[in-house]
Amino acid sequence: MRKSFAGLALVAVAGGSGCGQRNPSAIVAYGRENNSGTYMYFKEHVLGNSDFAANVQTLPGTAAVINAVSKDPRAIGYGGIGYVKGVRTLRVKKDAASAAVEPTLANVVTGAYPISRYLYFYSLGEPEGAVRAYIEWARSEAGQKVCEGVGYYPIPAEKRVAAPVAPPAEASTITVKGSDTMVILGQRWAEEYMKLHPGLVIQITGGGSGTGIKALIEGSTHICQSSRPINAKERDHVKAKHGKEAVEFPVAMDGLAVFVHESSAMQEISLDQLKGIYTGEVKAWNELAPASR
Amino acid sequence: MSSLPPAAEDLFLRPRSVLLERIVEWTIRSSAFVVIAALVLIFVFVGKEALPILTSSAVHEEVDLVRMVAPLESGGFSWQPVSTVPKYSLLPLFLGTLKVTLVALLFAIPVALGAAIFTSEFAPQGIREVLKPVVELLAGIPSVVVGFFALMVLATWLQDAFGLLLRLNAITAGLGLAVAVIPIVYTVAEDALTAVPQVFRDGSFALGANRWQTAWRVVLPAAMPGVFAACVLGAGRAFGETMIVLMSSGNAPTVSLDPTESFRSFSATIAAELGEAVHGGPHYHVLFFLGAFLFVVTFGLNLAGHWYVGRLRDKMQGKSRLASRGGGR
Amino acid sequence: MSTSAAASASAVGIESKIRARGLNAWYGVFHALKGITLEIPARRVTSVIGPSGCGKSTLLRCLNRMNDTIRSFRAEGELLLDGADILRETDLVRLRKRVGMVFQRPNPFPLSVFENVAYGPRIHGERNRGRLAEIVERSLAATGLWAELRDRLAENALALSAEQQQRLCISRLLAVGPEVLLMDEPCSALDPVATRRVEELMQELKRDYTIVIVTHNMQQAARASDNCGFMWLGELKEFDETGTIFTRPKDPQTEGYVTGRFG
Repeated sequence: MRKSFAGLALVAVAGGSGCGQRNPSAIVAYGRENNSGTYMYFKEHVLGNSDFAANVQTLPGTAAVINAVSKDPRAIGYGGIGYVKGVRTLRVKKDAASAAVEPTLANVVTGAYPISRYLYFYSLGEPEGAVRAYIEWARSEAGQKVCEGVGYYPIPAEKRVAAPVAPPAEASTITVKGSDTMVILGQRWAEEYMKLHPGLVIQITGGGSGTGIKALIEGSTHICQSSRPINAKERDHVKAKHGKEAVEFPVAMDGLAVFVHESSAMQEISLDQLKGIYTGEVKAWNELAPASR
Repeated sequence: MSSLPPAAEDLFLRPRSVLLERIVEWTIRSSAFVVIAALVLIFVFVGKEALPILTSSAVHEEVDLVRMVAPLESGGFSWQPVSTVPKYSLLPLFLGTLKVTLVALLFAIPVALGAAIFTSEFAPQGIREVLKPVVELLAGIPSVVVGFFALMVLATWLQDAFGLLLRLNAITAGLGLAVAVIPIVYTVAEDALTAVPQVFRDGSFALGANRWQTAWRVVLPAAMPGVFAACVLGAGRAFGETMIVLMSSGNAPTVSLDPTESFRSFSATIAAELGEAVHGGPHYHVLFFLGAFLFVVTFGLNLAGHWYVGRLRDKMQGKSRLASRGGGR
Repeated sequence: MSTSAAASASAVGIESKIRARGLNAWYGVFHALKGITLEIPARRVTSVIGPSGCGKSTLLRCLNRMNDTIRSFRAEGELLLDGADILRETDLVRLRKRVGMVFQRPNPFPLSVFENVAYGPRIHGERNRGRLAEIVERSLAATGLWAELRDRLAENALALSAEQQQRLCISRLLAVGPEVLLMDEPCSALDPVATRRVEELMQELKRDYTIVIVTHNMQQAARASDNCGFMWLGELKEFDETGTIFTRPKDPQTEGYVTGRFG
């Protein structure tokens, strides 16, 4: 009995303090869990390695972020371009003076869109046999076509492999592990490649870029898919454990889109403004420069 | 025995069946041992991975117990394990866990006890036979489904109903958590209420009390040890539940007791970050330290509950007086 | 002991408290009470004896409608308390305030001694702490418990001895100010000394209350009651002054039972 009274009191305090209505213009910021490559990328390239504000809500997966933003007129979120649906993407400016750029294929490939990144494959030492064949194929003309099909962007022509080697004739299995962002892309590649070479089995699992790199360090996967570059510490771990380098292959490009609710008045945003929002310096939409609203 | 044919009765006396009985006895005994061994092994494993927080100087370069508890040099309390200067304040996680547990219990206990009292004291036989299994079935819903429901549906309802700024907060998560807690509290409490001897109810009815007065003033106090145990079990579940909180809390490590704020709990933190933490690094050990902490708290909570229930039961039966006065009357 | 005096006083003109005429009761299809007709005199102890399953407890539980909770139970006929129909009474709270019950096994609530006695007045709306304390003292004094327990009122009632518990249950009843006390084998869980004390208590209480006691124990019926009824297979075979039942029974079955030839 006493407890339920305390409950009523709690709700009354919560309601009475007006938390709900504190600021109609308040920004509700969503991000990704800190085990995602997207988190790391955003932190490095947008926040300049500052910490996220404590009240940035983190969700498991870009789809969850988009879903949350689509339901909340005050929300802002970011994630891979490949997913966008039901929310509005903002044009992004490198700084206040530069032009706002739409996150399109052309803009990402030319580098005009300021928050784009490479997606990578990593292998333990120089790949051989079927693993090498698969990586080269993914980076070839044929492999890069697959990227566009699932909403990512091909790597520039000079980084592609013109003539990928064929896999050895005997049957073998390739394991691929890592970035959640890349799971769908990885699966499409695998399907296509297995169609071309029926003797091959390619297994794709997610878990996050960090999980993939950890698997690489432990030697439990042939290929690690990662949406961020491996860091120095992890490189050292690989070297110490296996005496080989982790070899990096850019396999696709991805832009990070910034989303707001469809009803939002926002059209464009600068990297500085994004940094302000996600580090907690900017707390309300009306604090942003009127030009962008 | 007597109803068995003589041949069957013989079987029990044959030496072979004595052997069989031994085997059965040993199987049962060793399965009990396996459970205890598993518990000890888990704790040893978790403890071993948590220990470097206290002992390893390599870990101490980045984090130690003092820095986890005391305010940071940069001021305040912050959980930023992936950072140029990683910060591991426990306070935001502790407050988050505390507030969601409280909110969940505030919702779950009145509902579960109300339902238990209704089932045992008011419901006609037919309804009781449906109600109990149905509530218990709730316990079988995977927590990821509950979490998804809280994230997608409950959050929207609550936001619309109360005009909350944040969709994901301790009320949303607490309500979701209550779905997981209610069946536990309900089942144990209902059993305790049903076990109250009918003579207590008769005594109350014979004094002119109605069903409600009887339930509230006689049956509930008589079942108090069991009801309390139910609440402790529920609290343990709320404290350790991971998936529902991970999905519906927003996971923002804020330092706040405001139930309308997003928060980050211990269990969700472990689930979200352990996959990423570099094996053997400070972050990894900190997460295991949290795990050990959760383990100890839930274990302690159950132990304290068990002890208190025993004491309460003795008090109910008037034993404490006998003990304290050496049995004299 | 005032048995003989009471018996002689229960002649014509004695006020009767409860009157039954053609009372029948069923549990489903089982016919538990068959045409019971009797008059229970006010401020006397009336006992009902008979073998197990003869319907004596059912009769007792009709008097305060305790069997209402049993779904298959049904009673018909006339059963009057001071002329008012018990079976058609709609206000069970009022009825049970007037007709209280003590059970076979002492069943104090798992609360303190004080709370046990205060329970009745509280549920009937008494909130004043001072008046409650007064009622508790008076009710405990009436059963002789006040002297024993005045310093232990806060103790859990389940810590008391069985006999104290049973007297506490009686005190608990008295606290709501009843007119009739129903006792369903109140001493069957007590030792002989404790039984004796409860019987003495009944003698004191009958100055103010009408007491109906169901018992297995024929010595108890003989010692403690003024009037006695013998039941057999749902019928009230004989109802008379206790002395008559035990010395000059008219019914051969009654005689067989009280002389210990069967039952």
